[in-house]
Amino acid sequence: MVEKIVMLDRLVEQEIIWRRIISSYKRNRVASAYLFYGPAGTGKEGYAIKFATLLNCRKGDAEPCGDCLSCKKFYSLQHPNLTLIVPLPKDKDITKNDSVVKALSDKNLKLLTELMGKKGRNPYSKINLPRANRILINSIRDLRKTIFLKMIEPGRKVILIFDAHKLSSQQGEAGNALLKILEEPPEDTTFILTTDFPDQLPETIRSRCQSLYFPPLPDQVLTEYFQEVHQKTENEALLISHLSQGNIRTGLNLIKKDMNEIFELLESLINSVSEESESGWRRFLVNGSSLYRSNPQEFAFQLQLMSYWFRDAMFLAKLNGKAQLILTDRKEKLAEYITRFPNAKYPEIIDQLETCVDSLSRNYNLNLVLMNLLLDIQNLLHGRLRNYA
Amino acid sequence: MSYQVLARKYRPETFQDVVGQEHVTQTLLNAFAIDRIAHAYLFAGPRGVGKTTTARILAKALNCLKNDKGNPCNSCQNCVEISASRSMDVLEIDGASNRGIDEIRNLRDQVKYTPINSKFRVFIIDEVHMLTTQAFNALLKTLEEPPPHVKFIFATTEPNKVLPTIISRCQRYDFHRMSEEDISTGMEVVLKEEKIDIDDQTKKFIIGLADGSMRDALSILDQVIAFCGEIIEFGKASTLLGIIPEELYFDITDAIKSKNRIELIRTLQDVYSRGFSLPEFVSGLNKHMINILTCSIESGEELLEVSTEMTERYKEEGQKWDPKDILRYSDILTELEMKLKIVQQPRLYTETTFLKLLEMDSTISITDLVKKLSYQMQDKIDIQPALFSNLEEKDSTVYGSVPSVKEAKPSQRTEFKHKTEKPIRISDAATGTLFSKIKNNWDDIVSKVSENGTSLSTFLSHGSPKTINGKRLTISLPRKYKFQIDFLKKKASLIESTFEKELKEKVKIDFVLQHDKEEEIINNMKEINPVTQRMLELFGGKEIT
Repeated sequence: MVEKIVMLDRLVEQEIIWRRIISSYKRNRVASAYLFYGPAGTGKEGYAIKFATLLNCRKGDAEPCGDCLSCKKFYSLQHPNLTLIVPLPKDKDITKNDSVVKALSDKNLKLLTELMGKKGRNPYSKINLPRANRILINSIRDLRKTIFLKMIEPGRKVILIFDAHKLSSQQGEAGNALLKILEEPPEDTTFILTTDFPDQLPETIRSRCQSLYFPPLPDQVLTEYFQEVHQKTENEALLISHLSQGNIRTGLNLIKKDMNEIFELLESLINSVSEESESGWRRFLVNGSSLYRSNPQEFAFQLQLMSYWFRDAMFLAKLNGKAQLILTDRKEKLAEYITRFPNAKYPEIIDQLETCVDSLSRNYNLNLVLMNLLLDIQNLLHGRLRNYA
Repeated sequence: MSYQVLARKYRPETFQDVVGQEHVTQTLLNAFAIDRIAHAYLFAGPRGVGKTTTARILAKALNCLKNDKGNPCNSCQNCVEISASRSMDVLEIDGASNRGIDEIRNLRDQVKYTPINSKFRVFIIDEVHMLTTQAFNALLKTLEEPPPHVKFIFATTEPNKVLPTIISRCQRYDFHRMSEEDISTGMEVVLKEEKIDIDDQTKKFIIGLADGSMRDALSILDQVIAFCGEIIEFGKASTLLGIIPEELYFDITDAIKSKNRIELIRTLQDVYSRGFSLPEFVSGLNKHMINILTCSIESGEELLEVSTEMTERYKEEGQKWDPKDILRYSDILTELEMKLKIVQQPRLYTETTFLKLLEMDSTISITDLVKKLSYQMQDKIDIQPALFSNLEEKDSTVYGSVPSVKEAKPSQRTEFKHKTEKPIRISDAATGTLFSKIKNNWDDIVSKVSENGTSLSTFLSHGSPKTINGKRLTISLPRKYKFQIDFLKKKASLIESTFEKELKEKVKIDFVLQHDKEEEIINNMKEINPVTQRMLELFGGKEIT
């Protein structure tokens, strides 16, 4: 029980956004559909849950009280008025009348329950199952069956759809199936869609929602947060908030790690892609592919670190060190690095790193993608543009 | 009753209330007036312009008990039932959720029953583009010849996904994107009813954001009302809508102009820390660039949709820039806009791309470039004649010299160029005439050779004179005539004598095999017999062998 109340405090303030949300609540103008969008790790899902809780709270005024039965049920994501829709893998074949749960293998079902429990405790944990590339149309069909039923508990029905851009995966069946109920849901129902990529949503969905933009969290807020909630020293907190780039999820990943280890990891990565030694390349390919298979998040994080390095290298080279660096205490190494590669095309390298992430999300061949990345970085470091013709 | 969003609350109830789609509503009203209602309609158009609304009004109009010239009364039992979507005779089906063949079979079974308490059974299938192909096909027969009491209305945002066989069975109505005036009229009604006080600037902005859709406009208005209450001022609303001040755009273009990287990055960080969305900023900046571009053309400022004060600024800005540069910046920004939809690190990506903008050199038009280059080239060209004369001495057997080249002066450059382009393939003027004589009379000579044996002339006709060096004529034959060349070599003296007779000059003949490439060139160079040419001109067709 104590844990559930902790959740409230764990949410980093997005004060302006929250003010907007409650202003509609206070004026009794709660819309039937909201779209929370903005970069990753800005608390969209956390605030969606908080808003849902507030809508059902028995005595809540400007904040959910956190004490009543309804709030407690919401914080563990178990309230009957709450429907949660997330992307799911399709492990088994199902007919269109089957509940979406039947599509999951036992293992994934267990994992899902576990992740949902975790989400209740930590608003920044992500509910993502392996190979969950889309929101299944069965999820929406299930919703259509239940949404018109009377509520068991008083309050307001809330449907949360996380990673809503996955509604438009493939032919966009799920997104289209949602359109009618999204426009005209029954009374006292609110949809909250959250997404990092609003542009991937069809216009027909966006036009039915009131959109709220969640800006990235400022460094200062993050630093304070890490200091207060996670008892980090000021220096550490500052460094972590720099590395997070407004994405608190990155930061929360970092607090468990030793900073020095991270920097060593980064340097070895950079060395293996920059040097012209076969053993280094092989190391990069082998490590990269095994890491991606075992822990894709960590792999993505490593790529992110690398793009920080190249970004800093570019800033150092172009701005004469007047700009704020992300990797502040590696300045000397960076300075040395840029003298090694005077012709490097850094923007293109960062582009390649992004392309790599994108290609992997499309299930391209892992080894080929990594090899391609390596070749491109090699070429671009020496100022050669690859000729695709 | 609980709160309903504006877009739903103010859904039009009569054809007249539907704004901006007169071409559809008037046609439908006329159809009612002369009683020519089709049995199937397809409403297509972008989101939020009134497709579903019109479909519902049409359903009501069809079944209204006291239909007044095509408009539903909205008060009779049928109209009320349809509005509350509990009529037994009007079925609104969500095509996206009921997209399989089974659902359509189900529907076909229902079609045969007569309506319960109204004139028609109306089937509205919304989002019809999501039906599967099988489902569409199952519908075809019913759709073409439904029972007289059945009407179909389809609505879709993506008519291109609907099978052509379906479209051809329907009366298709394309709904237009709504103009700003139309949205404004539509909003006015809502504002009056809701007693909302809003200033013009905010209103204009909402209309701009709505991008041609009434529903978008009302969604945004809803949001603004929820935040600001009944009196809406631009200052407050702009923070909610995340309106980016124009000043920031000008800062960016100034920084680009002065190539000030630090200023550029600082402005970008400002945008970021003030909580504006980067993708929106980039697309705004792109619009800003286009505005500058518009102003750089004559009296282009009249086309701008900004305040007069801003127009002046843009006009000023437009004169500072080269339109071609702006176009290139805009290109990069457009690409960035696309990329920002998928990248994981938008901030990093934007920053680096912006720095790339500064790396670009300003545009030079091709004519300027050529002018510049030709200045530089002059010196280089001057040494070229010397180069050529060297070449000529080395290879004089094959490539003939051009007498004028040696004397060519820089001022005669054009002449020089002309000559070098077509080198005469002979060593000196005298043999040159001999060579051309042989070449011109080649066919005659070959036919004369036949007097000494037909096969000889046949073989010879495959060849062509290649070069002449003094009195030694080289005749080349395509590679495949290897056997013939041996024969010709044996009979060379015979051929030489014929040549002597014809040319009145003694020549020695060598035979060589052509290299493949050479063969090709020679084929291309082979002159067409003037007679053949004339024939080709007169009769058309082409030469075979």
